[in-house]
Amino acid sequence: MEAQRYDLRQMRKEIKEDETMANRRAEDVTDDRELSHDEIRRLVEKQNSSTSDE
Amino acid sequence: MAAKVRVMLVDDEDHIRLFMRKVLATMQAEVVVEAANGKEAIELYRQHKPDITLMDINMPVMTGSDALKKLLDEFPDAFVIMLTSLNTADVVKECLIAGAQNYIRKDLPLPEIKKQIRETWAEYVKIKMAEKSVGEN
Repeated sequence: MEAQRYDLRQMRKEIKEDETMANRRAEDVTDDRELSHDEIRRLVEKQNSSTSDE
Repeated sequence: MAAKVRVMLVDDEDHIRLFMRKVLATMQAEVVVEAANGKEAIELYRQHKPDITLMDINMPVMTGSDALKKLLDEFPDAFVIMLTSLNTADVVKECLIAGAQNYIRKDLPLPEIKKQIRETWAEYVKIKMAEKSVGEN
């Protein structure tokens, strides 16, 4: 009985970890935030400086 | 007198192209060709080789982001500024990673749009001067 409870806890923990990982992956793939002018400007500057460093 | 910047305008909306043509005329720039979608832009770029391309994103037939990638595959030196209403992080990053020199939102105040186009033009001139100097040495 105790062993079954442990298995169930372990299973729940693993499911939770899987969900967390899946959410993180989804965040990596899509980013549909609307950016302000300043945020876009900063991204442009960052990208241009990384390109000129190459 | 400094040479005029040769620009290609790519936008499916006539009134935007007309507006930008008038704006660019005040900036020592000459619109040498206009396209109404990404596919047309690539075909016309081959013929006219403009200094700078101003590219909308949301267009029929081929989007500006797809056209940007294809254009840079074929012409890695192409200078492309995205001029668009889209502002989602994914789209901005996709275009910058693909190689767009600048990303300007159409709802920016006009003086700021002009300032950013001028800055990109200055960058273009700097790169061309450096290439010329390397070629001469």
